[in-house]
Amino acid sequence: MELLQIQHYNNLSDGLRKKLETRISGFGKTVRYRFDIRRQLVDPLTKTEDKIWPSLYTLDPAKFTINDADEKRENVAKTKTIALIESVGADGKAERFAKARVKEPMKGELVLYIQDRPEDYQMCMYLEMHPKNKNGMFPDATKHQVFFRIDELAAATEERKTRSARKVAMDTAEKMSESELRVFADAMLWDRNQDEILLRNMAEDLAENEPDFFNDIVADKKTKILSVIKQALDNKYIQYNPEDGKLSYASTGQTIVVLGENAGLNGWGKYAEWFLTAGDAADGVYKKLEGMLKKQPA
Amino acid sequence: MAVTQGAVNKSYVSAIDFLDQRDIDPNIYDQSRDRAFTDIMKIVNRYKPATMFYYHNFVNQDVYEVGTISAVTSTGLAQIQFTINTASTFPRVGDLIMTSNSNNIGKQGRVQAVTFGSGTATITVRSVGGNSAPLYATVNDTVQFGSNAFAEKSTAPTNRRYSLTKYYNNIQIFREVDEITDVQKVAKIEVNVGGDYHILPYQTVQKLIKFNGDISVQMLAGVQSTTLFNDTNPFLADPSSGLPIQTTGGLDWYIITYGISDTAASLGTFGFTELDEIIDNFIANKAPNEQMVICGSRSYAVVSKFLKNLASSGVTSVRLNIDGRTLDFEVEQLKYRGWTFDFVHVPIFDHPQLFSSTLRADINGSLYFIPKGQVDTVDNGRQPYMQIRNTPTPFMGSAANKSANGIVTEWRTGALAEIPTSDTLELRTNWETAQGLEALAVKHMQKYRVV
Repeated sequence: MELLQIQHYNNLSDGLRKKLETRISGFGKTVRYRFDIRRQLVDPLTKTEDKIWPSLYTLDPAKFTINDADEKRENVAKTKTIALIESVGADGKAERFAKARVKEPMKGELVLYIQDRPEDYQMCMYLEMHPKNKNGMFPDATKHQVFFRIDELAAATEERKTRSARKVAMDTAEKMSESELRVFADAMLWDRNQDEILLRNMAEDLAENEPDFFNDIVADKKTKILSVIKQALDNKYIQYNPEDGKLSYASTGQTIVVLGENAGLNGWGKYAEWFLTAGDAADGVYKKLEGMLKKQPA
Repeated sequence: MAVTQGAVNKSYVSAIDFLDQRDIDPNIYDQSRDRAFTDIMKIVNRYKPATMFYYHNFVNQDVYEVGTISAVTSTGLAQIQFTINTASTFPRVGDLIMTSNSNNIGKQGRVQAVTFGSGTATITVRSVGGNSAPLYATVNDTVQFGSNAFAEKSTAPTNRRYSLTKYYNNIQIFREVDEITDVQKVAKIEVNVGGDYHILPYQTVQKLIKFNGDISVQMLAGVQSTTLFNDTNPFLADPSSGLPIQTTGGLDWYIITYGISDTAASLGTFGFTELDEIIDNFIANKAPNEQMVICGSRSYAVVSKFLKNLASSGVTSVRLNIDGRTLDFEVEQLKYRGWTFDFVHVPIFDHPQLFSSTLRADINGSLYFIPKGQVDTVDNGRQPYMQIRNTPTPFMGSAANKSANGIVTEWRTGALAEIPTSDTLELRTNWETAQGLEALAVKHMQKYRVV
């Protein structure tokens, strides 16, 4: 059921009504609106975060005006007053108006069943024209855009993408050989000498909770380089000086590269990038280090 | 001046410097009336010491929850299945339920199975009336889990864990200062305060009014800072010292953040529709049915027009009684649907430099409902719904140039103080207090905008 047109309320042009209908027909069976009314409470003592919603939030203004550019009728103004008419009096005039309200248990999300409930369809039309709807038809930049329609299609695509990434990551983590697992552990700066089961559990946990990060690490050439750098350092084939960020051979002191103070503070990523990008000189060093590690007794 | 000839007239005498007397009324008249406007302490004048600069309170959870049906698997049968997307962690096997579906009037069902999804619960319900009383479910029906029933030799139902919600607010440090030099301190002026013909008492009175006004404004409309005194990397900080600044959330902040916010569909109108809505909001939140309504003149006018048109039996003028204290306000009391509302006009809402209809239209045009009594604790104790929390004064001992009432401390420094503290000939008077508002059970409070 469409927005009720009583008196001067909701006297929309045919063009605008059609645009609204087309827009809403693309939403599917259900449409969700998220309201930015959550209060993030950070405990002063424990620094833990809690989320609290108001007991009742009412969207204002309940009545608003829009500019209906599609209005072509003679003697009909382009400025329209929009309201949700709840009841009509005996005199045929709008008597009560409904409002968009978000109660605490809804956790800031208003769900409308637009194909099953006519009143929800009306609410949807109303919200799509509301000036505080960030992705509505008439957002008012001078007002705080307190709510937006969740794009279900985009949300579903994103959820599927995450799920696929997780599946790939989990499969990869499960099928890693022991040596691959230890190389991965080096890249993550974990202790590669831990029990295989423990490393596998850590890798799977990472794959489950941060699949994109896991997949990036695995797919990355950098992973292998990071592993070689860490192993070479652990085995004291090379040494690192935090003062100037110099990486050099431990036996001769010959400089490999200098990347500046504390370049290795948060891992060996900067050095891995150097190995990847510095051309023949870096490739030569890398091959030499690989050779040294291969000679290492297992 | 040489001797001249002619009549001694007014212009002749007035031409002689300082000879004319001046008629100056020595009083200073209170045209600004800020003191009368800013005092809200009559409404909230209960103080409770705080031991820390953030104070917390816990509220309990509702023991019942209501679910909303988001999908229906089967309906119109003696055993049906549906999914709820609110209260999804509440249902358990054994619950007896009723729903808002009009086809289920006089029917009850027992939850036979619950399967939990992500933010949903799929529930299988069997009608207690058997095949002759099929149950119905449609999307957006609401479901209450009002009772439970078990078989002989049954095992225990699944345990439910009730959580607590914690709220907190901050103590805010308020300061004011007055400075005067040695010369102006003793130079006399034409007007007096309490018989004292110096500028100092006037300045002091003005500063104190402003100081108390600042506290009132913050208690009414202050916004709680996200920065706290214990932040190592504070966002709101003193630009020179880098130390954190924290502010207290006032009544308006409490209500719009945690309580009930509503508005008349047509601003400027107030009638039974709005009154019913206010009461329905309270009922939905189980608020007590005796409420104090504080408001400014504009919003009060809208209500008054409605009240004056009611039969006189509905409205009476009473003395306001809050928590056993009778206050001298002109109060209109309305009783309706078993609810009692005492409308109190609080001038600070009308203050043109603080909350005028153009400065803060929402505060100026709203009615603030606060329960009149005290809020119960779960073990039958009680606390006022609103009180001021204050930390102990950081000042030590007693001194001739310091005085305090336990809440606010005043001290004087400079060479002109009772005990000189420097060699600069000036008097500096400081005021300091650390206070914050505490509102309890805020879901019993409502802000309703009418104009």
